[in-house]
Amino acid sequence: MTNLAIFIAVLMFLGAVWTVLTDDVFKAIVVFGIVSLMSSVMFLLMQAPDVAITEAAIGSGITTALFIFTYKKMEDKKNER
Amino acid sequence: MKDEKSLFINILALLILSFMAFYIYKVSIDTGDGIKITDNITPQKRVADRYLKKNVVDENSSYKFGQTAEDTSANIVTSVVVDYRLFDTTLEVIVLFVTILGFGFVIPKDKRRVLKPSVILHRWAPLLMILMFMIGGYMFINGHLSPGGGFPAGAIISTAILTGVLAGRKTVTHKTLKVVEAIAGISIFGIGIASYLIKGVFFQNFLTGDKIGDLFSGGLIPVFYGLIAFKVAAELSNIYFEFYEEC
Repeated sequence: MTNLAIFIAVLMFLGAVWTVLTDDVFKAIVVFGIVSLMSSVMFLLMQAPDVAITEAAIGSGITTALFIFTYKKMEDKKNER
Repeated sequence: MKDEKSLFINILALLILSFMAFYIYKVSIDTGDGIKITDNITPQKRVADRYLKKNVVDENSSYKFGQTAEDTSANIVTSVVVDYRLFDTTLEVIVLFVTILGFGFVIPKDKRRVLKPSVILHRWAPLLMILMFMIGGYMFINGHLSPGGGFPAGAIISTAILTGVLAGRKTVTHKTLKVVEAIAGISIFGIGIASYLIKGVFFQNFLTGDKIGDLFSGGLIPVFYGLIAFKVAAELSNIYFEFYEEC
């Protein structure tokens, strides 16, 4: 169990660093969703299933969808110019 | 004239800021003898003490169920969130409402063409949506028995509506969303006022005396969770329609 937690923590760390350093906004959004999903697994390992469900639904579902919508709107504005 | 007015406003803002800064400084150096609304120094009177005494880590620890507020639901987190801290949850929902209000003002309505979705998504969307609606409904109906609750349930239901929007299926209209949100919001505060009239405390659970673990137990907790779920789902779905609307 501890090894799994350490593995997930390392994945979260790498994903967060990737999100900050990448130039492509779309990749950053997708990796950010993956980081949220990993943190939901982390909450489950820490025996907080309520928080895990909320994180999975809001953090990795709705936030990613909203970011992608905003990204699409930004691209539309860029193409108009 | 205009300069004098702006100068006055600046001085007023500076005064308010210094007032707040003074109190932030006072709180930061506070040693525990400041203003006390409730008695939270005596450890026996704190909520944390009660939770420490009935932890789940020790195998031998046991808790005798009586008829107190925290016994009303089988899931202890739910009874904290909806019985003790219902003001928090309600104000969270109000914060979400204000966010969406500002969202509607700020985002300009521009004409855009929506691309036609692929046939596979268009055909499979209803099946996915039914499954998502089932999971969302289970979340708020069973919120007082198992992990879950109103907020994630509303989020999952709104994700189902998002799938329908992306697949080009007509699911709900703007007017339905507004009516659902208004009814849910009014009902939450209506029940709060009703419990004030019956029990004397705002948002107190006045349906007690049912068996722990039943589907219809926990008094008002499932009712509140259902209302919160519908309000959150309507509010979040509004955003998707705002973004992804065919003009």
